[in-house]
Formats: sequence, structure tokens, C-alpha cells
Amino acid sequence: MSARVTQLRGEPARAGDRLERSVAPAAPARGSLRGGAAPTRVLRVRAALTPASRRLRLLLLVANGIGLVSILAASSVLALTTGHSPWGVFAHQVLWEVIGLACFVVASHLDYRRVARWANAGLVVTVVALFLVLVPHVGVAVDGSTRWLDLGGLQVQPSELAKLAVVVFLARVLAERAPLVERVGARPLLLPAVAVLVAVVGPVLLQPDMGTAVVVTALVLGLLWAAGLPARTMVWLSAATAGAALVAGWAAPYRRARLLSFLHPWAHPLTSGYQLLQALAGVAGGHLAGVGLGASPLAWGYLPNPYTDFVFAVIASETGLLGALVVLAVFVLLGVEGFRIARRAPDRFGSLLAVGITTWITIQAAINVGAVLGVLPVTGVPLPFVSFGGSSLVIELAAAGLLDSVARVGGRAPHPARSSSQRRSGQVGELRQR
Amino acid sequence: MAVLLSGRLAELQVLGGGQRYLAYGQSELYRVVSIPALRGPILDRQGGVLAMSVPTTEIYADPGEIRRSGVLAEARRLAGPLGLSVAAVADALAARQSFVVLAAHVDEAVAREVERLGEPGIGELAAAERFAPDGNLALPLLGWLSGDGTAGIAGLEEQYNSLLAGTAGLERVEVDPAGSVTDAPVRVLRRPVAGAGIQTTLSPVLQFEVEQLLGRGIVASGARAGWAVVEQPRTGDILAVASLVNEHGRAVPSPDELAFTDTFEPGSVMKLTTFSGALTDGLVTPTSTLSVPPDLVLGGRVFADAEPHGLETLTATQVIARSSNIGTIEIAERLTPSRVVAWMRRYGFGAPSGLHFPGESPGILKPASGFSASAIGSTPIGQDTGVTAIQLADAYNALASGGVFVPPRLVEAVVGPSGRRPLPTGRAHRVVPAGVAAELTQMLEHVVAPGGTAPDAAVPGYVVAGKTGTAQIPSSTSAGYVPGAFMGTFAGFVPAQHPAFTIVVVMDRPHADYGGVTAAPVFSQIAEFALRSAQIPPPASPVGPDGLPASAEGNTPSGG
Repeated sequence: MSARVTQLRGEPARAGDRLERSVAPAAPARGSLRGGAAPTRVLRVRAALTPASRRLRLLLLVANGIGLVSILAASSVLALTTGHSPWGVFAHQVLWEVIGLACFVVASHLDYRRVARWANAGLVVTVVALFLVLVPHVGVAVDGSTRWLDLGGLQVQPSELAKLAVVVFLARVLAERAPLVERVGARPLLLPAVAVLVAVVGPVLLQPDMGTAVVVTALVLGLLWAAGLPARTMVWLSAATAGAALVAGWAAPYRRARLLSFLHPWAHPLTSGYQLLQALAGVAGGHLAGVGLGASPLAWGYLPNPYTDFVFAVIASETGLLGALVVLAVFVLLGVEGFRIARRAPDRFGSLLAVGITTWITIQAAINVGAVLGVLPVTGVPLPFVSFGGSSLVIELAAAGLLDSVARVGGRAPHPARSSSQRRSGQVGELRQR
Repeated sequence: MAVLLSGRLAELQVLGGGQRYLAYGQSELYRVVSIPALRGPILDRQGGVLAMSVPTTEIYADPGEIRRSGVLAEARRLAGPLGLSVAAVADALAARQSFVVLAAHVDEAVAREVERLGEPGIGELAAAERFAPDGNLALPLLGWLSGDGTAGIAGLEEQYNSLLAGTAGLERVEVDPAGSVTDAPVRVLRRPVAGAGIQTTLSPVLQFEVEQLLGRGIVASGARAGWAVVEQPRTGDILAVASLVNEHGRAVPSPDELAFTDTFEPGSVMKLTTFSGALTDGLVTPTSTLSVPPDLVLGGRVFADAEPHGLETLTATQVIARSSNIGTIEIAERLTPSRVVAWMRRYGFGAPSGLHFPGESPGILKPASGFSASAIGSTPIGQDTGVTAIQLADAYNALASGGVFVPPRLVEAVVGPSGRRPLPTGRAHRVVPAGVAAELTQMLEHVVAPGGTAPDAAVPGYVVAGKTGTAQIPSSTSAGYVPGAFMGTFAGFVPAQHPAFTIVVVMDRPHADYGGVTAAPVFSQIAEFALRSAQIPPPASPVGPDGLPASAEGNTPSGG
């Protein structure tokens, strides 16, 4: 399979050292870093930080910092009034941040191309885990949704893993098949994409976890677009997906009620509309500069889940429009940086990987913020890097590590051997992301 | 998408689109509570305080915020400053309630000490305590406050509540989702406006003495209750008004101000009105003679005098001095029923006094058109009618004022932050010609003289004009009167020729039958004290050869 990656990049496939060879021509500097060592197995990226990587890391630092502060601000007052330690939730998140940071470091030092090898296995494990969640007594239900697996006391959310697995898998498969589009049409791209959608989104919807389903669907569409799916096909596929989403949403009364409640929160201000009304009240009360950290009533128990899915409401309330816009700006910049990394990625796999991860993070942020602000239905997705959460944060940071890996490999000066035409053909993102 | 979300944020936060959500959130977040306004004081005529409100602090606990293991330690720390036992505080702190009052009223020092301790789950509320420096003085008149101390529910506290209460302020407090008030600073939406004070016409010294003397009289005579009014001629100022009940041989303040609220059959004190009419209309003169038979039958009812007698001839003055029922009825018959009733009305009977005191009774006065055959006998002698003590006081005060009816006055001014604002007085009006008033006064002097019905009402050295009343008590359960139950009354003024005080004393069911025996001595004691405290000298009288006044007795014996 990696052979196809190298083929796509116009290099002959040779059994045994495909990946290494694919890297070698593009990375003379790295070779020099390694003391001019022979271009043999280069599985770790040890390059110095590239500008793109620096910017990415800075944005991640800001996002995670905002997250930690917000979580402390959103949790400490309520903890105090209920007789708990004000630092409890915060300390938990710090622990997850440490684990997530470790994953980031590992992923960023890993040559992303090596990850392609694990794509199939990752997807299989994910799909199995997703179905395991649905098995009674295996999956753990919270608030009416069965989303967790209990691994010896540690509860993990396979749907978070699914996002990463889908990105890696489809990036690899679509990178392989993108050149076929011109010859045989869209089918080589569509088939794996639809298969993934069915295998992953299906069980996710059964949990039910509409948020993850939407995020996965969005990133699949994003990957297809980036991989060069013809515009016409893109349009009808999007329409079909949207139609399917509507049907799925309409079919179950639970989903229909939840999907529509955001449109008229006043109808049931004490039940289905309660959370949104409280969030909007808090956001509105933030005005320009906010009421101050910890000073929002949202954090005192008026808002359910103040430091998880609705943490953005607390941020907007406590730091006002200015603080909220900073958060939005961080995600916009993450998006810009992510797609820039995709454009500069040394190969189509890296490029698609960057597109997938960036789409995932930004779409998820948009869905989260949209829900908090009452312009999208509440689907229960966390705000990446900011919301309190274990599985989601660790997976997001791991994904960010991969993005960083792509940035560092792609960020160095183009190898003289790589012509501009090569770059164009390899860098789908550049064309698509404009 | 980012543009859309930014726009939505701006709309919600700075462009006003979030106002209704904010309003909703604040309706949940804030609660508006009232700040009690300090109630205005009730003052006496000299500006002394009869009742005033003192700001205090209420200390309460929210046991839900106190750890069970810490209850005892916290109780130990609080018990001292609060002046309570550790056990009592511990019980309160461990209660399964979210609000327990530890101390309803503590002073500022204690409140500050408790605040300094900063114990969890302890809160303080502004409160106020109604304080009467003179204890129960004039209590039935002043009235009562509701349990929370915010509204008067009886007496002057009720009547002048809107003035006294002031306007409560409003403050906005923050509440958590459980409804408990948070520590966030409160915002005062409206400052409380303290209530104005009212200045009564009461003389504190006289009021105190009246209560003492009345109480002694009640206990001595075994009366169930008694009440008294001291009114100032010409001004109508009520200088004292007392109302006591006999509680197992102890006179205590009655629940209601009976001088204003209790309607009773007055008996002979009402003869004043018939005599006023007859003298004014020229039907009799003080010296006109009447032939008075032992009894008189009217409409099948037999009327007799208190003391049995044969056919006798009495002057009009003797009729009133001896309180002859038959003589009075003979004069009333000359006056005619409609004039009898009209003269009662003229003196203010059958109508509210104008004080508008809560629960005040207008009395009962039947129109002449509804008179039965015997009514011309019963009405002039104070039966079949109902009066209040204040109506009697006003009637005798009119005589004391030279025949001019002066509306009574109990509250003379409102005392606010901007100063003292006198209340308008009612219009005085003449009810009998001055000459008739003088004649009547002279006739009433004979009541108190030896040979009259109430020599006990006399005040040594002074001349008293007044009238006794001894009336049966109508049964509330059946027709007729309660056997053996009487109301004893004395109404009069002193000094008779230059009246300074009009006094009415009513005794409810004393053991002795006659008002002259029970009410008159109390009248005399009150009058004596009032005269002395007002430093009113006895009338100048010729000095005898021994250097003493020729007449030690004020009231001279009634002539012939």
C-alpha cells in the first residue's frame, strides 16, 4: 500500500524500503542533521522546528492554555459550593493534558508516513470497538448515550478514536487512488469513502452520537474534495449525505426533538431549551469584555456541562466578545495553518492527512460553537483542545502531533529534485484550499 | 463559518440581540428582595417617645451549608456572642431546614462580632424591633404590629400605618440554582424611606397616672374592665385614654382600646342631652318645679327612680342632681321624642367621633320615627341607646367648652424628616347657647355636691361638674338585660367654671351597683392629679377669719 503512495508521487515502488525511499529525496537536510547518515530507515522526524510547526505549536499551546484556564474558571466555583476541591476538575484535565502532550510529542516525532501502515489495523480496531460499545453490558451509558468502553477502570470513547482512524485510513486510500480519477472516474474514491461512512458512522449513530457522526461525515467529504473528487460528484454526494442526515434525524423522535429544540428554546425553557437559554443568557451577559473569570453564573450551576461541551459559553460569558473572538481566531488560524501545511506537504498522503485533521478540528469547533450560540443543533461534541475530556483531548493532540509531523517534513526547503510540477500533482490541497 | 459565528457572537453580546436571553438569565439569577424601612415613632404631646423602631440584626443559619461534624464547634463559637446556650445553637445548626433564625434581634455590636467570626452557613438580615420606652403605656391605643413587624394591625399603628411604615427599599440579590443567596454584592435598586412619626396629643404623665388610678379602681371594685378618657376643653385634645381589663385581680392593658370601640348603654349620663334641649327651648329653667310620682307607666313598662320615694316636687336642678328618671322623662315628654333624638345627635351621639380609630363604634341611636310607646321613657335616661366613652367625653367637653362642640383630636402632627406638619383640626360648632351651657354646668355641680348622686367625684378645693351613669347591660343572647350586671360611668369636667379637663370613667361590671360608687372616685383621683400636675389653682374664694378658705369643699350642697 505504501508502494502506491510512492507511485503516486511518481517514484518507482521497490519492495522493502518504500517508505524510506519516498522520504529520502525530499529530506536531505534531515540527512545532514543525522550527521550525513545514509538514507536508510528514517522513521523518526528529528528535524528542527519549521516555521509552520512553530506556528502550529503556538496555536495549540494557546488553545490548550485557554482550555485549562476555562476549565478551572468553569469548575472551581461550583466545586467549592458543593464542598469539593476547586482544583479537582482542573487537576484531572492537567493529567490528560500531560498524557495528550506525550502523545503529541510521540506523534510529531513519528514520521507520519509510518502511520499509513497502521491505517487498516486502526480502522478495524476502531470499527470493532464501535460495535463493542453497542453490546449491552460492555458499553457504558452516560446521559442516555452509550459511548464509552470500560478498559479496566479507564473509560475510553471509541468514537473519538474513530475520527483519527478514518482520517488516516481515507488519507492513505484516497492518496493512492486520486490519480485514477481522471482515468476511471470518481468510483475509486467513492467506494472506500462510502464503506467507511457505513462502517463508522453507522454504529456511531446507534450510540447515539450525532456530533461525531457529523464530524466524521464532514471530514470524509473534505478528504474526497481534497483528493480531487469531481465537483459534480461532490455536489450530489453532499446532497445525498445531507438528505440521509435529515432522514436519520427525522426518523427518531429523540433526534428530531433534539435537532429542532435549538430553534425555539423558549418553548421548553426548563427542559429541552434550558441549557441553550442559560448559555445564551451567559453569553449575552458577557458583553464586550466579559464578567471576569469565575464570575459567570454559568459556572455556578446554572449551566449543565459548563466545562465540557458548553465551555465556550463560559468563555464568552467571562471574557466577553473579545475573549470569544480570540478563541474563534485560534481555530481559524489553526485551519489556515492546517491547510497551509497540507499544501506544503511533501506527498499526497501527508497532504490529505493534514486536510483531514484540519477539517476535523475546525468543523468540530464550528459545530460546538454553533451549538452553544444557538445557530446549530446541540449534538454533544467537545470544543477541541478546550473542553474537558480525556479520550477526545488525547486523540486530538495525537492528531495534532501528526499534523506537526507533516508540517516539519513539508516545511523544509523543497528538494531540488522535486520539480514544481511534482509539487502541483502531489499537493492537492493547494488547488482545493484556495 | 467563522464569520457567521463571530457575527452571532457580536449580535448576542454587543448589538443587543441577547437582551431577552440576558433578561431571562437575570430573572433566574437575581431575586429582588425588599429592604425594610425603619418605622416612624409615635410621640406624646411633648415629643417624647411612646413607641419607636430600633434597627437590629437578625442572625440566621442555613444548616445545609454547615458540615455535620463541625456543628458543635461552630455552636460553641456562636453561643457566647449570641447569648444563647451551646445546646440551643447546636440544635438550630443541625436542623433539617435551610433557614433557621438563631436570634431575631441583636444589636450592632453582636452583629459585628458574629460577622467577624465568619462562620459558614451564618447570615445576617436587617431587622427592626418596636420598642416602647414606657412599657405598656397606652398600649391599646398605640396598637400592635404584625408578626414580621412591617404592618400595624391595631390601634394607631394600624390607623397611621401608611405614614409610619415608610417605603420599603428594594435590593437585588444573586441566587444560585438552589435558590440560596450568594455572597455576591447586592445592588440597591431603591433606598428605603423611613416612616414619618406621628405626634399624639397624649400627656405621658397624665396617661401614666390615669392607667394607675384606673387600674386600682378596677381591682378595688372587682370590675371586669374599665376605661377612661381625659380630654382638653376647647382644643378637643385627648390627653389620656386608658383601657384596662381585670386579669385575676391585676389590671392589664386590654386588647382593644375600649374607650373607642366598646358600645354600652350609658344610663343617666345621657340625661345631659334632654336637659340641654329643654333649657334651650325654654321648656324648663334650673328652678322650674316638677311633680315627680313614685313611678310612671309608659307603653306597659314601669319606670321608677333608683331610690323609692313618694310623690315629690323637685326643681329641674334636683332632678339631675338626684338623677331622677321620672323627672327626666317628664321633661323629655315636653321636648317630644324627635327633639330628644335630635339633641342626642347634636351632641355627637350615634355618629363616629371623627377620630377614625380602627374598630371605633358609632354607637346606636334609634330614630324617633321608630320609637316604641316606652321609648320616650327609656331613651332620655340612657337606655335603648349605645354610646362610646369618647362620645360621652366629647359631649361633656362641649359643655366644658361653653357649649361649643370641639371635635376630638388624638394625633396633632406628623413629624417627618422635613419637620413637623400639624394635622388640620376639625371644625368646632356650637351645640347649646352659652347661657344654657352655664346653667347646665351649675346644675351638674350639684351632682357632685352632698345630696347629689356622686359626692365621691368631688375634688377638694375645686368645683366639679359631672354626671353619673349606672346602666344595665343588654344581654347579647336574649332580650332584656344581664341580671345583676351594670356599667358604672362618671362624666364631667373640672374646674367647673373654667374647665381644664373633661374626664370620662367607665367601669364594666363592678361589684357595687352604682356608677357613683365605682367610677366617681376614680374620676376624682384623676381630676385631682390632673389639676395638680397642671398647677391649676383652686378658684379664688373668700378667706375666712382663720386664714383658711371659707369653703374647704368645692361643691356646695344643693339647694332645696
